[in-house]
Amino acid sequence: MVPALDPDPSKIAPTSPRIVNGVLRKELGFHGVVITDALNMRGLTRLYPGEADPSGRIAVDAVKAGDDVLMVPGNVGAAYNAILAAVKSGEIPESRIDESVRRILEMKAELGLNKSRYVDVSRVRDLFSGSAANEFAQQVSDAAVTLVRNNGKVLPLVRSEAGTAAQATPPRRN
Amino acid sequence: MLIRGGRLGPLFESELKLRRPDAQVFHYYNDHIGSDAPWKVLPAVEAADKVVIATFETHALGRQLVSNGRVTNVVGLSGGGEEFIDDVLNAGPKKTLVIALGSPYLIEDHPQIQNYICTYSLTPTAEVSAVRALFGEIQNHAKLPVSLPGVAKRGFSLPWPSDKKLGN
Repeated sequence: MVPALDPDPSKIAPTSPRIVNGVLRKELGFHGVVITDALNMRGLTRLYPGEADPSGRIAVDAVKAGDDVLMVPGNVGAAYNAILAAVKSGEIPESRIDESVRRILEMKAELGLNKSRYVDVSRVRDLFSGSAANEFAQQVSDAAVTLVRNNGKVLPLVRSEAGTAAQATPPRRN
Repeated sequence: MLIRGGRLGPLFESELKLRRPDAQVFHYYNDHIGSDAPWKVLPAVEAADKVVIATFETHALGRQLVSNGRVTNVVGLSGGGEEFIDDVLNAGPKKTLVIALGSPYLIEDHPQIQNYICTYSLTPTAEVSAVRALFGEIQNHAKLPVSLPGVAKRGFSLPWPSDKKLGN
C-alpha cells in the first residue's frame, strides 16, 4: 500500500489502477510488461474479507489495474475463470486483454525467444560475471558511498608505510 | 581497528589490512559464536587512536527487540549487539567512525555517532568501497537517498576530506 500514490485502503500497488495505469504507465511512461507480486500474499487476500477464495476477484482487479502477467494466484483455475467471465460480461474489455498479449509478445520477440527459447547455461558465467561487469559494479558501489557525519575528523585514514595497496583487489564473487 | 556484526566482511578486512597491516581487528557476531570478548575489545578501543566500526546489518520488519526484559522496537536491526556498539562508541565517540554496510538507519539507534559513512549494501563491492572511502580514495558526490530522521534529510552529504590535511 502506498497511500501517497493511492489513498484507497482496499488497493495495494498491483491492484491499483492509479498506480499501475496512472503512475507507472502514464506519468512515468513505462510501456513494458508489468508483472504483479505474488497474488496469494496475505497483505492482499486480507483485503477481500467477504470471499472464501478471493483468487478470482484479485485476478480481475489486477488485470483492470493494468498488470500484464499475474504471478502466483492463490488458485489458478479460479483466476482464469474469473477473468474469462469478466471479459464475457464486459467488465474487462477484450481490448484490454489484447494490450497485454501484445506487450508480452513484443517482449518475447525483443529477446529473440521466437528463434531461441533456451539459455546456454555454459555461457552464463561469462555473460554475467566478466571483469567488465565486476568493474562496473565496483564503480556503482564507489559512487554510492556517502559521508553523513564527520564531527571527529577521523578521515581519511592514512596508509602505513608497509601498506602497499595502491591497487585494490578486484571484487570477489560470492 | 574494526569491529563488525554478522558473518560478512572478509573482503573489508583484507582490503583494510592491505593498507594498514598494523590494524587490530575484532569481530562481533550477532549469535556471539566466535566473537571477541568485550573485555578484550574495550581496552583496545580505549587505547586506539582511531576506531572503525563496520556494521553489516539490515532492518527486519516485525522483529521484536527485547532489551533488559522490555520490548523496545518492532522494526529493528537484524542482530543483537546494540548495547555493545554503544559501549564501543561511548569509549571514544569523537575518534570512532561507524560505517554502515547495509541499513543506513543504524544511526537512528545510536545518535551519539560522530562520524558516519553509508554504503547501503552488503555486497563485496560495497566492502571494497567502504575501505576506499576510509582511506580517502573516493571523491564522489553521492547523496543520501533517504532521510535519516533527526540526522539528515534526503539529498544530504558532506564532502570527502582530502588526504592532504590530516595524518594519523
